[in-house]
Amino acid sequence: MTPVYALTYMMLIVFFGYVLLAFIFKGESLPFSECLGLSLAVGAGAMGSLLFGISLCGFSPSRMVFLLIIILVGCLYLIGAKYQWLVKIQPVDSKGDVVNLANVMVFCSFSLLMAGIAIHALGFPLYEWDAFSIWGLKAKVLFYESLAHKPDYFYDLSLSFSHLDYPLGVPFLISGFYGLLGEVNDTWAKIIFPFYYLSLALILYNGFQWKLDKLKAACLVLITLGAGGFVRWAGAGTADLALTVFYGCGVCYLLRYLDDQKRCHLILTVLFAYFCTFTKNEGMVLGCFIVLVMFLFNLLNREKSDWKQFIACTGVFLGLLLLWLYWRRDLPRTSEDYAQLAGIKLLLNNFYRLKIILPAFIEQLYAFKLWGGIWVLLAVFAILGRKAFKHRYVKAAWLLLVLHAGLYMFVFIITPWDVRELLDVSLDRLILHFIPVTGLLIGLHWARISSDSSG
Amino acid sequence: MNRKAINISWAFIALGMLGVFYSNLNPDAFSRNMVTDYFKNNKSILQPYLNADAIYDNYAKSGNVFVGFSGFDLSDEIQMGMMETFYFRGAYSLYPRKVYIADKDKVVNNARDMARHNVMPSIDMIQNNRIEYVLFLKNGSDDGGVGLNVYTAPRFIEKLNKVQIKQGIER
Repeated sequence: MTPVYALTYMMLIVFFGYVLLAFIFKGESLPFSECLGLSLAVGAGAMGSLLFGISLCGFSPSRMVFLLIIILVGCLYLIGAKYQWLVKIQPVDSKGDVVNLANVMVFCSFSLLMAGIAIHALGFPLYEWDAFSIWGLKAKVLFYESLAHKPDYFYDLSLSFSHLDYPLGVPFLISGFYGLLGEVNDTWAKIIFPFYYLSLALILYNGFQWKLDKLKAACLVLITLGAGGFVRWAGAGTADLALTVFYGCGVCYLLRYLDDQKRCHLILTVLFAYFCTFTKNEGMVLGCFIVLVMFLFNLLNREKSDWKQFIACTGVFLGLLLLWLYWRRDLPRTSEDYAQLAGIKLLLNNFYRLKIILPAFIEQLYAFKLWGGIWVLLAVFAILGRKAFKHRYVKAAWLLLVLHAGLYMFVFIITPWDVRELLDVSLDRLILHFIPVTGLLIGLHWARISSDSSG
Repeated sequence: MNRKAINISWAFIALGMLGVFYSNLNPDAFSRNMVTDYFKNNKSILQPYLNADAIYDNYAKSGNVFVGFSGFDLSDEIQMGMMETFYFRGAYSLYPRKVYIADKDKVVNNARDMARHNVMPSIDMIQNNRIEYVLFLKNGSDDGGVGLNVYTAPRFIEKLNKVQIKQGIER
């Protein structure tokens, strides 16, 4: 019965996401693939946050809680249906679709990758160090105890290795499955990870189609998400895939918002930025980067910007972020506390570490065994399609990439851990977070090369 | 120029595709090895954790557990890894039962912290934390490997009492 519960859980997440999309798109139509990808990603992020809220009220995930969630989602569905806000699926435009060898190859390759990730996720229990000791342990705590009174776990310093103050988005999503199943099963709990991967693939596929044709978009999805390093972490059960998905989707919709100023893209950008903050500590900064870059580019384009919408959305983002920060205010920060550590003195003292950090980052750029040739592609396409730099969404994406790299280098400079040891165990996992934005940039430069030709 | 740029971009896309295949199918590729392991039912990747789980399952069937370590060399990464695996894995797989190696107010992030704070449990600690089993992992036992001593809580308290009485007589 466990697989049935696992699939039911995923269907509930998709349905929850689909219903929420009604309140974002208000009756607009979307391609089926984008609707499915968004339903998965929004549903997963929102389910984690909803379970957090319910747990604060004193209820840990259980079948009874899910009954209430189903009633809530049902009510939202009826409201969406009444006002005709439910997302409609765009009829498939098969004009220009060609079933050729290239299309078939890309589809088959992606299916094989998905199969590999599903085998990794569902063929093994949680065994990655971080997966069980940080995220898996928190999921168990949240399954057994509600947050109405903070469980002892969060103050037990002898469990400091599990990073007591880390965000709870992914643990809540896993504990939700335990709640529905009625017991702990850390193999089937990982079913969420192939679906995370699928959601990013579908959203990027549609994101690429913003500027590229279907075949190019499909090729780029494969190159972006098919690298061995990505596949290696996609089914591992750590929160890195979730952060990569939310950050990638957030940036994707930010770029589209900067282009078209559509309200739905603004809401999605801010929503995904919030999901980042509730997924990992570095996600808190990445989420803020998204909002800051959006603010900066709105400022530079004052006449076109809708400030009312922006302020409303940012207000909700900050409110949700503050709720989490308020809840964790008294948790012990015993493993690392970068916010406290960040200071000019320590930065200058440890600046010599750049000699260790930079070569390690550069080594990742030509680690073909891990990342294929994605970084080479970025360099080549940026040069060939350099005219794309005049678009503000391209500038924004590059700014985010630079800020992101700067953030991680800064963290390695000030970290209290042995920097070599930390680079060894975490760098490839952190590079994963850059991949979707890198793919988006390749796509935008490629589009410029193609449009130069057609123009 | 534009035609040329387009051709170059497609050539690099083709190379990018090859990169995807190479990064997943080269002999060191994680994906390739993981899928092979799965179909050959090779659990070597899980073995350290399965070993730790098996010890807890066999020797600490109920209640909370105290784990003591001795003889581990903190300059040896493998030995530190063994300590961390045993404690971290136990803390995860036994939850909501608890694994103690130190008082709750001692920060434990790694094997060095474990060695620093790992003390012989007192009778109070055993009783207050409802510890039912005390396990001692001793590195460098008679056969050169890692030895395991298991006590139920009453037996361990009895042993502690005997030691205290003996120490009292000697004084």
